[in-house]
Amino acid sequence: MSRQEKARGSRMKMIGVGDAGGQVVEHILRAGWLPGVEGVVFNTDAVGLGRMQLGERLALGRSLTRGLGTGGDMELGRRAAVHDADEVKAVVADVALVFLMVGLGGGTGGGAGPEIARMARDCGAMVLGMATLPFSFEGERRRQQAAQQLEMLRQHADAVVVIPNDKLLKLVGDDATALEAFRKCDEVMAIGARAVWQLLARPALIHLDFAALRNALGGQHGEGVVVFGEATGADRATQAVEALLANPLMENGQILGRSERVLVSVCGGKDLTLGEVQKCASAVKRIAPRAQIELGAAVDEDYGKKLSVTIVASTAVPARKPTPVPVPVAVTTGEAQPTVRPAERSAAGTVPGAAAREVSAKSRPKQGELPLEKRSSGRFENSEPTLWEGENLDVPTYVRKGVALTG
Amino acid sequence: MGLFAREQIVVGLEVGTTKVCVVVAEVLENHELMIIGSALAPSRGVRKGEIVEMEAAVQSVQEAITRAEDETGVEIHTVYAAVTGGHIRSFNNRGNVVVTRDDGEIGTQDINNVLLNAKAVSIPVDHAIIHAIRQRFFVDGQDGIQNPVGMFGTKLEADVHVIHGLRTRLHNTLRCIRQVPLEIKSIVVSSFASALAVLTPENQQEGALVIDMGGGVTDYILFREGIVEHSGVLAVGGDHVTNDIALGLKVPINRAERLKVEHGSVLMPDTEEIIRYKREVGLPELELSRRQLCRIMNLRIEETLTLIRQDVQKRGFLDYLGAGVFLTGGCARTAGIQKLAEGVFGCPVTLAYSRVAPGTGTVMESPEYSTAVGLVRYAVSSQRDVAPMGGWSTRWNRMWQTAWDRIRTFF
Repeated sequence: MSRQEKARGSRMKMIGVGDAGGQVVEHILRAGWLPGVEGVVFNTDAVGLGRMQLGERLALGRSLTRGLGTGGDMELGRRAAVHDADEVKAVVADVALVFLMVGLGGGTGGGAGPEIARMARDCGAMVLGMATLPFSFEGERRRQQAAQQLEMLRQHADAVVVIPNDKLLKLVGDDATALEAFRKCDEVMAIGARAVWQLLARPALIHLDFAALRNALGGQHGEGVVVFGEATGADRATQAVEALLANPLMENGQILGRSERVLVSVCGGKDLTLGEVQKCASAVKRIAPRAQIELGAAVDEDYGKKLSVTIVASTAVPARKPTPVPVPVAVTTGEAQPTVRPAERSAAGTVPGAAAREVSAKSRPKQGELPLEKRSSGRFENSEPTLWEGENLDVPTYVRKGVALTG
Repeated sequence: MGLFAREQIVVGLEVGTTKVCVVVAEVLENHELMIIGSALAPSRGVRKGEIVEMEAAVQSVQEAITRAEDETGVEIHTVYAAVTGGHIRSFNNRGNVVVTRDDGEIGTQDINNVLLNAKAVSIPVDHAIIHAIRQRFFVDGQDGIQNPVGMFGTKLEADVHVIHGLRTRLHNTLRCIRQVPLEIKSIVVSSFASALAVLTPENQQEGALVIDMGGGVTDYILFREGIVEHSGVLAVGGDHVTNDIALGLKVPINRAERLKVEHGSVLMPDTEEIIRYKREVGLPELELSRRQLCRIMNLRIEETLTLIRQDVQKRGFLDYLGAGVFLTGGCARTAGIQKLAEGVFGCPVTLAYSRVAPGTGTVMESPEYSTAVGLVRYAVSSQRDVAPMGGWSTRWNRMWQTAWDRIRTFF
């Protein structure tokens, strides 16, 4: 049975890694949004884990961190995951689809997250990553680290929805507390997970297979927004779309105009009509003329008279040619494997355990050319950009089209 | 130079992104054109077809003019100048008037009025009209009329193709040329000039798209039934190709330019080749993949052509290109571009050189000269109308008689 066949109608799990990921899982479990999906939280920080009340809670790398967390050291986080590979594999065994929730930038989510994604895939699961990028007020180091981690996550997950936290600031306003802001991130991630889950798990009116889903969620590796709108009543389709567009994340619909791919998930009760689905889709199509739209519609009996529209829009970021990402040569449990990060791959082949630790502590993560950087237009930098339907044509075509220049 | 001689000399000047091009021609008795000389000078201070550094640009123009004067022995005072730039826009507009004469016979005055009316369109306040090219007339709703003078009707309508651009940017080009100093007889949009150089009247009748891919911008113009139906400027040119190569292969700009010219193609090679080149003393020889080079070029040129195709297709003219697509400008030299363009447009593509009348040298048959040659052609066609006595009525009357008239422009 192929991985995709397994994904339909069989076991799904959501795995939160680190504090941020754990919060999201807890948020979803508390809201009861994804019935039938088991929640698992991995954390290296025993205190953080202790705060969680729902789902299966598992400590990672206890012997490495003594339950004190990683202190933002992604290498330590990664090693913790490798160390407890047996436990992780036990969790992901026989699971068809894994929602992997991580907050990038830190040690556990960003370090262990990609590793867990890899293990889940090795066990035959489809992995849908949902990752947040840190707020810019969290500092440059975290941002750079997050960029590096995102790259690794993308290597291992089947699809990744990326939500830059900075965008969420608009949702909460300036006077929001940090706690409220983080809470909002959890919610947005949860909404995204639910939209995908609805499409995969509920009886479908318009079926969207996982390949299409993966396509919509960033074949080109997008940075995305997830927005949700719902309404009841006579004209509920139109109203739901309007509610969705009123969301500050949509920037008055401008986000859609810039988007390359948009996943539209319509969900309603038994009385959901094709006409309503079509209304929602054409409304989105109108605002996002350039985007490739993947439409799915599902019926959820619990919905009653409600109708909800969720969109996951991703603006394309150029695909990068696969950089060798640390894949331990042989994963044997109980022994931390030294790995080589992209930044130092030229410097070191295999370094003995202790030395690797030292090297990684010394080397600053250098990610000058990650897709999150501003795209260069070279000699046209200082001239007026040539804009054509919102695209800056001064940026090389191969960059915009995401063509990898491999020999 | 005597007064008589000067009247017979016309000069086309194109201040391009990579070169300044001057073409000097003599207008013969029968309004035939004889090109007596030309000159090129590398251009500085111009980016994407627009002047960004006045001093440098003025020097470049002076240099080109001096070379042309040396070659032809003609003193150049007046020029026809080409303008281009990403700010240039176009649209079609219809004007209408009620025929003035009681008996309903349409006179030249009515024609003037209707064209004025068609030109009176709202363009952005900071824009100025460069051309309002006449397309066709309608008399009481009957369409397809080329010359309504003498016809009877009550309502006269005219379609014009209006090309306009940012006043300040146009002014920069004009100021640069005036500082040389030269007098500007008239300005012409590059795409229109290029089309005059490469298209025969038959081509214009059958339907043709002229794409002039220069260093900084790509101008295009579409003719159908001898009428300008559409035109546009895309501020993407050969410089972008070079820039893409420089960024993609991580080589300096001038090296990228050489790679493009010497090894580049827009078609992917079947087998991988390694390009080796020597660098400064002490640095090791560098090896580059030709496949990568070609891919970068292919993506850029194909994209540019595709954007133009989409623009033309949107307006529904793609099926009317009986004569096909004519590629000119420096980028037309790119290896494989003809085949690529045929794939994009799905119709025959011609690499077009200027059609030049008697007295030409082979140098004219390079695509870089199209715009400048077109300028002198434009000059001839407009002079032919003004030459005898120059009055408005005679001028208009004469216009109906020649094939050029359908595309004549008004200022």
